[in-house]
Amino acid sequence: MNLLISNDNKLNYYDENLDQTENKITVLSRQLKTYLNYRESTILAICRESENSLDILKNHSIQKWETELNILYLEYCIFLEKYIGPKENLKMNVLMLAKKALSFPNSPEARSFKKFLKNKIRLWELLHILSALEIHTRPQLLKRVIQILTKLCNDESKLNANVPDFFQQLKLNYQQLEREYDQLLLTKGKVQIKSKNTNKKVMVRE
Amino acid sequence: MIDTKNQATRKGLKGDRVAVCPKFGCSTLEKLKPLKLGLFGIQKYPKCKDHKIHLVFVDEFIGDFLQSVNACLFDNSIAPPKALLELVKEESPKNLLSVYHKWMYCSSLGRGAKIVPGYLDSLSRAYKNSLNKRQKKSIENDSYIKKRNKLITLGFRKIEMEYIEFLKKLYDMNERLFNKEEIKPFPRLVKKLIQDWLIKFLKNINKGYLQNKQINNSDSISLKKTKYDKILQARTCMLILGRSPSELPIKISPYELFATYRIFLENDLCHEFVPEENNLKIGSRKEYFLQELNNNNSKVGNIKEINRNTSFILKNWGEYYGVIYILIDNNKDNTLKYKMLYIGQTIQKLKIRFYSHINYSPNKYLREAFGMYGKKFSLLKIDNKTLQTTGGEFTMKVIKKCKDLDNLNKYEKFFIKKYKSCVLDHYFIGKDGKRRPLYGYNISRGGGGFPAITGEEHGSFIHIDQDSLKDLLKRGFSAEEIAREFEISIPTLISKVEYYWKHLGIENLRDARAKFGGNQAFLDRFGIVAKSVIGVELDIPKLIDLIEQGLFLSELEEELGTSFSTITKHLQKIGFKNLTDARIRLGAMETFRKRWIQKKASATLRGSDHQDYIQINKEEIIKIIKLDMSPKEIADYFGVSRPTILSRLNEYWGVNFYEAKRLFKIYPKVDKILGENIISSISECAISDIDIIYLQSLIYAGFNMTQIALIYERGVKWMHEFMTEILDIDFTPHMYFQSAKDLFYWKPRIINAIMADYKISDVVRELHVTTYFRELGRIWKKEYDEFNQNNDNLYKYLKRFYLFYPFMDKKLLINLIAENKSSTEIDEEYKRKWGVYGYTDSEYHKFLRRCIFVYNKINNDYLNQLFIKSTSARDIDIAFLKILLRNTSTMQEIAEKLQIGIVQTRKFLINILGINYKEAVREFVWKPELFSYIEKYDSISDIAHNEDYNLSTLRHRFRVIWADELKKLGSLKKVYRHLKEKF
Repeated sequence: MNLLISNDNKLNYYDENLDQTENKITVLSRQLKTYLNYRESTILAICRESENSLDILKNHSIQKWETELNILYLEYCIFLEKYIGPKENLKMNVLMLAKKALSFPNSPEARSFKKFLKNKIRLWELLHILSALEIHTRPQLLKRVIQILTKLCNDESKLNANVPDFFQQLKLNYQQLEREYDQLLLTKGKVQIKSKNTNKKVMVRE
Repeated sequence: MIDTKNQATRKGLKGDRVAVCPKFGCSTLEKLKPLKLGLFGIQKYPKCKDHKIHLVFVDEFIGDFLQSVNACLFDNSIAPPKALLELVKEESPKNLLSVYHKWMYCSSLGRGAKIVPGYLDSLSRAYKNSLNKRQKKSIENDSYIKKRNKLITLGFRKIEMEYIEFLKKLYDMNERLFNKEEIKPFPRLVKKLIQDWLIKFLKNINKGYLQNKQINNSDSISLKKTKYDKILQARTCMLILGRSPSELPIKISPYELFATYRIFLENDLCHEFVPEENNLKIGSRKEYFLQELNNNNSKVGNIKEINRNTSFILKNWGEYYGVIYILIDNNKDNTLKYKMLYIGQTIQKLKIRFYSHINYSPNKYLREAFGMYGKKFSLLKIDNKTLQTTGGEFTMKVIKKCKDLDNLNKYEKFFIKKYKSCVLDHYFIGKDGKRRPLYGYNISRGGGGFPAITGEEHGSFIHIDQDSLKDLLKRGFSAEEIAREFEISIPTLISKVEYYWKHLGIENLRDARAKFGGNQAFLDRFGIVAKSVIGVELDIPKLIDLIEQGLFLSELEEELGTSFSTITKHLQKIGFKNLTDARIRLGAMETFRKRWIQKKASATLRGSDHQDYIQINKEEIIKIIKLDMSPKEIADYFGVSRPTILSRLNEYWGVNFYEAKRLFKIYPKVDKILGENIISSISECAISDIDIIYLQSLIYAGFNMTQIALIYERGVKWMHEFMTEILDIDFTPHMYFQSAKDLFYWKPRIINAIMADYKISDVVRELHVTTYFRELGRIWKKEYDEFNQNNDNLYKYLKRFYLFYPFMDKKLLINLIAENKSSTEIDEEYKRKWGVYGYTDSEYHKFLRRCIFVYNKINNDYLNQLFIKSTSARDIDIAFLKILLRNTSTMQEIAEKLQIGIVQTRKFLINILGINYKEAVREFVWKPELFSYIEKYDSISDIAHNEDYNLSTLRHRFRVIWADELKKLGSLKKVYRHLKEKF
């Protein structure tokens, strides 16, 4: 069993037009679709005027996904930190762990590893779902999601045995999107921490 | 459609390969096998059965498709329409660049990039379905590749490469097409402008060709392309207005769009957009502005002719009060790095203002700039808004006309800020160590204009009788009264007083009154009025005296020991509108103005403008602070005094020495320890806020007081005092750190666990706390007491508070918190909302869980609708049970969905619906279904025949459901007729 590949096998996508399975063939178009969705969300986040009451209603439906995303991403990071170690050897370490998990399927490490794979699938699923929602009404969340996507694509470019080059390029595109978003949201008006003492200001950027 | 020459053939095929119909949108896809012995077999050139055209290999087809997509997304026509640019240029030229770059930023998405993956997705799925297990496996894993499947695997690799190329193309074009820095939010005016333009544009599109919402086939290809481009421009325009292009009434199907662009491409009508060429037309803000000036120059044409026209003195500003102008040092002698700007306001003619700058400018930088050329300048009129020195050294141009003084001041400030022309904000330090202007010559930030009388009413033109004036002053008349008497302005009056009696030491009306004996009469007049109206709360004569001395508001407040509103109130009672009105009418405006200018001048000489100012390099001072040197040692290092160092720290960053040490030494260290970069994420905030952020982060990371003190390089006692001051927490002294830890370490963790739906036992285990879990009681003390100090009940409440209630009605929760309601009251309020008074606590909790974890997954929208309608809990349960009954076939399935056991499900059904599972199925599944059939068909056999039902099953269901009717009527036929009639 190739654990690195089979992690994409049991998916249940939000988008009802999609297959029950996502494999090498459909992952490309699926990821491209998500990327372009986020790109449009970024444009809308930058160009829209202000939050209206309708947006707040829409936010309500996004909120439930956000909480799950936060928890899953945290667990994902913790696992990588705890079991995988330095990123330079990411692929090798994951392969070692996969082998260990196959040899001792009931060990705690194997269980954690299975949970990690499961989390990763769900994480991608959530990111696809969020791309289809009106996430531009939540600029901070949108930024965080783009950051998460950049990191995941980076990891996938090392872990995904099928289409590493695709994920590598996708990572660059997300990084570009993040840069644009930072720059453009900055010009739109950055949210600043409110100061209690308005007289004493510290100019950190000089 | 792609008219590709690469039609798929089975001839010479060495393995399986997948082919597709080249008509975009057609779902025909076939797996082609090689001919037997390379010769035998039918359909050597397979065709699409629907479109009767040859199939093409899918990997080649995707390449062709993406080529068409690129042709569409990055065509030369992606630039914004000229008409729109012209409009923006005319109405709001400063936003022109922003519009252009924003348009380019939105272009690829606006032109339909988003519909590409939709098509590719369906193609991929069809492709996948056409493969057998082995072929799929060969794609998934290289080790399974067999010779027969090699072409499929290679084909797939080609597809992957096409995807990567497409992403690369998007990346490259995004880097090249626009300048991020130029994209700024539009003012409402521009947005409105674009909206109006779009409405007109859409009308034109509709009028022009899309009456049937279809492009006419008889159109020539180039005409067709123009039309398509217009639609795509409208879609892009929607995006820059922050709306989705799909909201546009004009639709083109994705297949049609890219197929048509394929045709354009083949007819050589598509050319990739070259950003550099087009950007040159716009350039940077400054370039654009300067280019504008040059354009105006070129319009002038014959300069000699203009030179002959000496009567170019501009007229007054008509209905406008004054103008904002920009004076540009064109850097003709190449001594500057940039062209320098000066923004000013004037109510005079532009020419007079220009000459006043040239001949006697009070601004030293402007004096230097004009003086550099060492010659006399003469002026040349370019147009009614622009003047230039004949040698082209300086240009003055009107950039804004204003209707009143307030606007004049407002826009002066605005433009100085916009063009960064104030030397106080944008400067560099010259070789002589003095501040030099970087972009512009303004020495103040603008907005300091005063009301003044202009034109014919100028003081030097008017003669008034000296004796009459003296008489009026003696009688105690005010400046306004005297001015009205002589029909002159107040400044004229003051200038006359000064002119007539300057030799007597008189400079203003107050001096004159004091000299000629009118002071008492004047004070009495106003004092009597004041006393009669509002009593003696404020010394009115003193107030008037102080106003006449030209005191500022703050000085008045201090002198009289009262507030601005009291002063204004008293002034209004004695007949003045406000303080400014009083100043004008009492003739104190000139004195006030002089004092104000003096203050302003002295203000600009502070700090770095002061001759004795010592510049200290910021970077260097940061480096030294990091070396852990004391202020005295730092002062010695720079060869200055200790106060100088401290004042520079305050000037540069608004901090004292210890705050600077934390900022530049301690906090970067904390960032390293925590593996974060907090300092760079803070753009501008007070040091106390930064302290709070770092302290909270350290406590959250689990450091204890001693460790934090070590990080801060201080003792525990100091740390305790520091934390007390910074973290404003209600605490008992000896429990301080525990209180802080409760708030910043435990609380966020517990809330996270609650949000993740952890049980209390899980939290105890995960957070390694004792089973007593005292933190809960300490953090939520009020609630803890309300729940009789029971941890379990409190935790359940917290779960409701943080997880369930926000999900169900966040607004209500916010209102209740704002009203400072207790936990019981919050619970009561929610219970009332869902009408769950009969429920036990456990049932209530189960209902909330069902909503979030079961009903929400089944149909979130429906659940939200029920919440909005404030449907009762029982009705919500009934509604979703009906859905479950319809969508499942056994009770086991319902139990699984509800995440409870079979016995509990049975009880739940009886409790909620009042009937058992079988009855519920009859009532809520069979009965509605049969009713719908009875409405449509005339007999039971008809239903069985048309709806593919087993007749005996159907009869059984009728018998069971309408058993009573059957008893009464005797036969099913009669029952059926009866039911039909009932309808």
